[in-house]
Amino acid sequence: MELVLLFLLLIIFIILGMEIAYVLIVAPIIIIALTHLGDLPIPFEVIPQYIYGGADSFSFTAIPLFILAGELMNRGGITIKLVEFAKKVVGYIRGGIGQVSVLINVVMAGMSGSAVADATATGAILIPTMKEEGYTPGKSAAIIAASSTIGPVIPPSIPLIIIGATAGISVGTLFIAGIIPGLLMGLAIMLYIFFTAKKDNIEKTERPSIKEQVRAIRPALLPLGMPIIIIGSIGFGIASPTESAVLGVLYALVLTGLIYKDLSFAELITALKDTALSTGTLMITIAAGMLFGWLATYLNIGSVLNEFLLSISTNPIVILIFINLILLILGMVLETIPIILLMVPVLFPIALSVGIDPVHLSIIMVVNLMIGLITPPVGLNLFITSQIAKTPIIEVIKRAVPLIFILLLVLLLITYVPQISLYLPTLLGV
Amino acid sequence: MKIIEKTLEYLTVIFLILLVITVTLQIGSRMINNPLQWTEELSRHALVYMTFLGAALAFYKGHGMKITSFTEKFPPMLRKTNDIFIDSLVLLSSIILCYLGIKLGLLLLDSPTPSMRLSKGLLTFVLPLGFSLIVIKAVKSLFTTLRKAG
Amino acid sequence: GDSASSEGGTGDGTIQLKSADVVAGDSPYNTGMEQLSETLAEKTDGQIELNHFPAGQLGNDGQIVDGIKIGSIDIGMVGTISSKVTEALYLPFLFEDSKHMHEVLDGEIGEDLKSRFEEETGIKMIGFVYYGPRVLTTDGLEVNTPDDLKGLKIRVPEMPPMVSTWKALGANPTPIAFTELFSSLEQGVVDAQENPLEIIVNNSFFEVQDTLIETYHSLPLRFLIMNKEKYESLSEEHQELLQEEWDKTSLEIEKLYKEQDDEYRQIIEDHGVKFIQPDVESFKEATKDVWKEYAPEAFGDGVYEKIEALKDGKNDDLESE
Ligand code: NA
Ligand code: NA
Repeated sequence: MELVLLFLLLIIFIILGMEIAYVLIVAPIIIIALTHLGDLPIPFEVIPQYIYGGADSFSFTAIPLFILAGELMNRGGITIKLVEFAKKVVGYIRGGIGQVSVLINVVMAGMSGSAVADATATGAILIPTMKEEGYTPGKSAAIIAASSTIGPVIPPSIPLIIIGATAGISVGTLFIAGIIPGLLMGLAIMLYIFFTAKKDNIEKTERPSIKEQVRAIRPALLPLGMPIIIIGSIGFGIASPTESAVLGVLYALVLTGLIYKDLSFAELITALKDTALSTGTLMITIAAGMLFGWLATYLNIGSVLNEFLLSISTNPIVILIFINLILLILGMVLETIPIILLMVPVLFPIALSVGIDPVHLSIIMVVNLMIGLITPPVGLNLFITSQIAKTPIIEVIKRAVPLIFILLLVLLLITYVPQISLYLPTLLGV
Repeated sequence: MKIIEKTLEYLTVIFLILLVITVTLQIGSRMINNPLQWTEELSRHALVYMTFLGAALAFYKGHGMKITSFTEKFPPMLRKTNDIFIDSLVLLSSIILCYLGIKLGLLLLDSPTPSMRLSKGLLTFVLPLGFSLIVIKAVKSLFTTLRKAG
Repeated sequence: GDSASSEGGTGDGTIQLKSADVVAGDSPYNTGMEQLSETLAEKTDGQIELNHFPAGQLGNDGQIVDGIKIGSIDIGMVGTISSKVTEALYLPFLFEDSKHMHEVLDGEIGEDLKSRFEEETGIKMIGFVYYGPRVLTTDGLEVNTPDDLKGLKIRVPEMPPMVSTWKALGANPTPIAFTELFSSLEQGVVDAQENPLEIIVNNSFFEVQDTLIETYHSLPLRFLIMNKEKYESLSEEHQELLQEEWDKTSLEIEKLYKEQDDEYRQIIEDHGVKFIQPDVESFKEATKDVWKEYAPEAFGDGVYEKIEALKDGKNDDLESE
């Protein structure tokens, strides 16, 4: 009963426009207060305990650090250098600048840990150019929104860090498992752009000579060192996946401050301030989500879902369909992180009991939740890119629908071919 | 108000810089084979302080994840009533969190943290601190909305 | 049923308790807790209803302990508690073997440690339970004496007695969160770790470590703890029953655990890990003063000496019990 009410309050407060972090605090407070009318009151002290505990995790220190690395790169002109590079490499393929946006997001994917950061950074630079090349504002916003969902599937990844930390799985393994699925998402979006470019009347540009292409690589070499630093430092045992974030920060500082000298002191301060602000917004949602997730677990959501799923079937193929459906429905209205905190303790035991690999499930989960960033009614990436493209959200949603279907096909493939996720970890023995 | 916002901005930036330094020291001290014992714990405390002071900062700056697509379609009067309702709930829950945070802090005052042996209770007080600053701002914005309504 | 919070309740005399643990659902500890739950219900005609939440569903060790302190969780089965008494039980070579451990803890000293713990933390300690003896694993480094450990980066839990032990042995203890341990070992962020065989198997550390040194340097315990007010609210009869049933459960868990330990050993051997019997005496010699910094304060003056006096003095190998 309390469990149903908890979720009912969640939906009502979201619809009434309460900030998500407060929804995740107010709904539990009401439910916990209600238990004091009955015989089994839950002490009120759990409320601050789990909110505090939600923030108190070493794994989450990577969140502000990856955000800061991204801020420094955008402010220090690294992102622009990467766009120039991508233009030369894939800009001539049919669909032109649309293809650039996918490649740039795949490259950015290896640097920033968050889809929202990727959408903001690449959108601000690419959407105006896309409009110039004949894309409608709606389609350019939809393409950026969709391609930036690749970010957190390819390492580094804030959602994978949170899944690893809550499920007790090695974040390093998850990072490696995400590489092929992420590339697959990029390939699917590129093919879609390729085949719809003609209908959209996007003009083809001339292919640059090999010489020109090689020349374009040089200025991008140092920026492209960023993913190498991050993945390399993990690979050579210099840093753990969490710690590698700080190496990203240091590298971005050296690159923008000392080598390119594009980052003034004032811009550095702005980058720090913006990072602190984003961290506050994100971390309080995570912390509050921990309270909500704890309460749902305490009220036995585990056995409710467990009985429901296992009463349908014990066949992993069927269970996976329902897990995906539950996540997709939650992804329509909730943000990524609250869903992870809520569902990891519930879904992982079920998955284990029917023989689904936890690393595989983590990847399914992250791809599914990234699709949630571009599904209406609540799609954070749609909001961001529609703002940048200065076009009504409904125009973006219309153009996003085919992309959602394409990414769902990729999700289906990832769900039923575990090797896509597990091949690299097995190969590397992690 | 502006003073609180500025102070929060500087404090969160200081904790961010502290976090960068601590994690760097953690890697560095290990590389010279003289690992420090306290870096893991200190970086967690820096993150916790960034979280609750940053939450207050986000509140002052009006930064937050919310969905307005439904309320935008409400008629003006209903919308105002809804705003007052939601703002009051946020205010009330922040007051409750302040009170409970202090209570929890007192309960855990003599529980030590594993490595640095700091008082868990003292560290916990950042939570009521952050939410008390939110209360100040929330009271003010509620008054502004009410005045507009009346 | 499962909707514990909506039905039943104290009105009809039912006492509902929530217990929590971090270890996986099929571990002997959870098997034990479920048995305890069944017998308590049986022997009280359903008056005591114990709902066990395994696998960290209600939080990690630290959160479970805090939860017990503030009363949101009634009972916890935990391995690490930030308390002087429980941490000092990790002191090197404190217990010779499980027989010695029982001689110490089942008697006067055990009762004394329980009340010292309660005084220090305000939490009721129902009892102790066996946990596997700890061994060292490395990636290729064959260790015979502490001299071989010079400069070795080893991950140890964040506990002062553990850190002091490995410093005394000449290694460099490094703090790494447990969730990052596997990849840290694999990538060489740290070179070595120490844990019971069970942990090594359940986290596949044999994939990234190929040498196991049978140091058996400590035989720590896990603890059944309870919110003090909740415990005191139980009738004397129920308190006694809980104690009695727990003491039986503890022995049952120990039996199950030791049976599994042989399988774990086999699994590790099957993965090609080389087992090494080091010169344990030299380890004891190097760490012989570590207790002085912790035991008097944690156990009380003279208690460590009493524990020492209960040793046989002949049986060195923890495993050969
Ligand atoms: Na990424
Ligand atoms: Na969505």
